[in-house]
Amino acid sequence: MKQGSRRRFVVGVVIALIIIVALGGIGWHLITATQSTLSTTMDTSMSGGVTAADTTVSPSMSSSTAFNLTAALLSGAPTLGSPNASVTIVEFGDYQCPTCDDWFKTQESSLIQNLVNTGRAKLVWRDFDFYGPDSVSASEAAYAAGEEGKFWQFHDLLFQSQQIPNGGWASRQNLVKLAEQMGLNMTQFDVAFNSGKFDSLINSNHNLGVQAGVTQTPTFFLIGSNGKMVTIAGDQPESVFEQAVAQLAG
Amino acid sequence: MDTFRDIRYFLVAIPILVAYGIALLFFDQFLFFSPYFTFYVSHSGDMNLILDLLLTVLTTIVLTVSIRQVLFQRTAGGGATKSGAIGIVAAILAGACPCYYLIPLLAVAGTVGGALGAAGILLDAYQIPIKLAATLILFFTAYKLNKSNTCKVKAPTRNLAQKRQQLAS
Repeated sequence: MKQGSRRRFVVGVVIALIIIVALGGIGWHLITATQSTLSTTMDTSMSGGVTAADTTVSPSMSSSTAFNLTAALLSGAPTLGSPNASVTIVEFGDYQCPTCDDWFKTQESSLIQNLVNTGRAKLVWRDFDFYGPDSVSASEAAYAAGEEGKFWQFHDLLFQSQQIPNGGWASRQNLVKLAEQMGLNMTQFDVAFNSGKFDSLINSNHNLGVQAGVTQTPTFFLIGSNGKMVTIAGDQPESVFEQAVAQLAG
Repeated sequence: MDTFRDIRYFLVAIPILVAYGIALLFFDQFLFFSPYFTFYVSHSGDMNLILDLLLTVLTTIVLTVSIRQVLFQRTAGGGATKSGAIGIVAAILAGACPCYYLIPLLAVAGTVGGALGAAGILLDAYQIPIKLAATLILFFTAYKLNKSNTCKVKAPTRNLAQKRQQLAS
């Protein structure tokens, strides 16, 4: 091989490798997102009467089983907004996740104002705790507050209080302080918080997220009344949600 | 900067710039392809965006100059080729920084627990200092490459003076 053609060959190989690595990474993300969407849109029939117990998902369960993922996503979780809203936005998040916090602080209020308060969509929260034990404690505390009808207030307070992940801000002692700060009935809160009764819900939420193909937090599944679904992964602007809701409702 | 006056290297630089830029912006959640093509910078993402753009430009410069060093300066001696090879390695390690690409993968691995998930969380939490370190490495590499590109001519002053004396005598 002549020196000139060899040089061109080496340059070509280097460029090709760089492009392959970059596009491969992007492709991997897109493929996993598409697979998740496909596995859920294949089974979009809306079965009625699904209870909280139905959200328990075996981690080993494959998408080829008769499991109805869409129905599972829609049931047994705290919901904000009108039950008659045509679109349900299911958020998978972790109270210690900085990206979830950023989305909460920059986008959630606009989303609630423009989509939830107008009755166009309702917002559902599901835990996808992978940052550590403090994330699970935070989820338990939010559910314990929910027993006093203050789930969403505590959810907001957790994000407003977020600091470095696993830095102790969501330790059990600090969560009790947050509950006191919110003016909850502490006897009732302590019993619920320490009972361990939310463990199965938190675990089933996590398993459901894995089943749905969550690869990052926050991940949102927007489900229309016709069963069609749009997945929004990451810290995306509220305008994207408006566009997707319009598409699902239309 | 002489490298980019040559159209061939300019054409080499463009795909590197575009590929690295898109990859970094995508993995840092500034660029989204699904469900719609969206470019969005959150309020807390300004610093990250600046570092991403800086890393992209520096990586392109270092990689392109390094390729030129390796391919077209072989005649200049092993030093030039060596500095070019080091530049390519530094650009790939610092500029492309595979750790960013692995964060989502590590996070998924973290769903089943383990050290990989913890590493992903740690890298994610400290990505600005990591990027600053990568920027410094790339600046240093670019400086070294520029220095190795400079022709150094050592005039044999002593021998010349001796020869002059010999000729004069």
